[in-house]
Amino acid sequence: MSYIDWAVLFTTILAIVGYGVYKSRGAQSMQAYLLGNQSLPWYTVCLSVMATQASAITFLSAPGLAYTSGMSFVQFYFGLPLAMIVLCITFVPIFHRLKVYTAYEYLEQRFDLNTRALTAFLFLIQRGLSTGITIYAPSIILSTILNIDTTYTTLFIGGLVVFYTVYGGTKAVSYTQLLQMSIIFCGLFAAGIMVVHLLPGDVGFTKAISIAGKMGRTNVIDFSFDWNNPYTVWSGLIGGFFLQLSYFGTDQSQVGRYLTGSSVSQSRLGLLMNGLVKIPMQFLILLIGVLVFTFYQYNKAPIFFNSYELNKLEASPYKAELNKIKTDYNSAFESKQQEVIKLDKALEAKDETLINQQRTAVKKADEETKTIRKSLTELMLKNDAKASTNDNNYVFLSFVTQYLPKGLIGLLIAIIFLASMGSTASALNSLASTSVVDIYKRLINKEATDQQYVKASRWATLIWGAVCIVMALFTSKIGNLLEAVNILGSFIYGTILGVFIVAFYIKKVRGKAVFYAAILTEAIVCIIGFNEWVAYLWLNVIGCLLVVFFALIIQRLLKKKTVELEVNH
Amino acid sequence: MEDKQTEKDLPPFVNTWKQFYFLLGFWLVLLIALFYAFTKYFE
Repeated sequence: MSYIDWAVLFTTILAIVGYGVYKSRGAQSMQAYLLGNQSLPWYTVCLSVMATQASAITFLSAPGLAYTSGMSFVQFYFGLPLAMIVLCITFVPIFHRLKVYTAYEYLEQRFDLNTRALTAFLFLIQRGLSTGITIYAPSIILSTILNIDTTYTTLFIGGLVVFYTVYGGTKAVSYTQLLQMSIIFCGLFAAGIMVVHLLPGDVGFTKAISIAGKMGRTNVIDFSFDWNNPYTVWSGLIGGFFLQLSYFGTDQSQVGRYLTGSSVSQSRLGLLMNGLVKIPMQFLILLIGVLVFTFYQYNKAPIFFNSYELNKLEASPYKAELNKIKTDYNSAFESKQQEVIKLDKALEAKDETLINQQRTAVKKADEETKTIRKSLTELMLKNDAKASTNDNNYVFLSFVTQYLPKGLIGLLIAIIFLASMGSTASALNSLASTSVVDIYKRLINKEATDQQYVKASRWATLIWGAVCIVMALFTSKIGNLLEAVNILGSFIYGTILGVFIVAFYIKKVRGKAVFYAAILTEAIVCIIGFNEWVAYLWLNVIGCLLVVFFALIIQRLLKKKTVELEVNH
Repeated sequence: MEDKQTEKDLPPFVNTWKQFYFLLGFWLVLLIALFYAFTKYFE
């Protein structure tokens, strides 16, 4: 990176942190520190909610995913607008009316302390573990790209987030996210324009997509039904709906965001706008990946985008085999390029017969390069069984650092840092509010003053921040933990959502029944999840429905028992 | 009290929140249709 890029990177990050700290000064009460005095407008709520959900991996993984396997990932978000509608009708008005700080506080009013403590505890485990990963995942990618040790990138991201979150609380989180998302949108838009600009002169935007489409990269919609495929219309609509509803309705990192809205309407509007914008945004991010794919049909792509793993192989006893694979790859690329040029000409001539013929030829050539890459990853594993053979997350950043102009590189690297900081900040804020409101204030120290609780919240943010940073540093030593923790959310969200669904819609079920139903369900979901009987998205549906089912049965049994006891007496 | 306040605070472009929810549902259907057309056109 040039000096200009470093300057852009640091100026962008420090300006945003400075702005957040400035706007959140003077938060001295619980209401101000944890709910931002419920004074924020809908657009801040909307961008804050989006920034919380979009981690750095969203912006790194999605273009890489489009590059390797197409755009079907967008279907994952189809359930989101529907979930936003249910949230706005049910969750938002109730949370606002009861003036709760956390979602779990409501469960004590509806059920009992046990249910509140159980859901808060499940949330703390899930969010606590995944936040370490939220910091670690981009750190390792940035360290490879910037050639800096992971420890420094982790400490930089984690340290800055802890600083402004401890200082300004929820308002600092929201205001930094407002600017973060604005810069992220601008940066991605500029990146998209640059990719098109870098394509050969006669390849415009539409032709670039056509070429990628003929090579199977524009497969947005899949109407087939497959329990094990998370990226179809049905799994997106049904599984995605339950996942998004549980995430936005019961995960404090999101509930805490929309509770800062100045009224029910402002919170609602923020969520509904998120429902309007999220899918097109995700589509455009994937489209950038597709354009990068077309770019690499005219310019030779690295044989493997993670240079760290490639360098490791270079320095190993397998160097000769690597060189052979590289030679094969070079010649495969040249033949593929010839086929792509022929396809380009066929598209120009609008000759359908030739287009179909070339479609088969380019697909075949693409398969050949994939086979060569597969032999490379096999060699990597032969050299090091723990080698990371998935380079999806490196595709976009590798392109950015190699081909984009000075200044824009710094801005796009800043985007990755900002995205990571945005979601981490929300997570720390929610971990602190749940620890203080649901545990400390409710179970340990009921009689403290408002200022003492603010102080406790600051300490809780600091401690959770330290725990997450240590976990991020520790994660680098345990590679396969990453995927396990990412899926952990689906193990827990369905159960918590089920508890809330019972709370809102089934008035006859009481605390004891829902508490035992939640424990029983969690055990079953864990068995299904660990045995991988269905794709992880479906665990949310199963968890939610099982809680409702068991709660109804247990409630009936408890009622029967009570009647019998009354009769006996 | 809350409901009265919500009723006064209406969403933009439409007259009621219900209409806004329908708008969002329609938007989802429209997006799926457009994506389907996109998939078919470029495949």
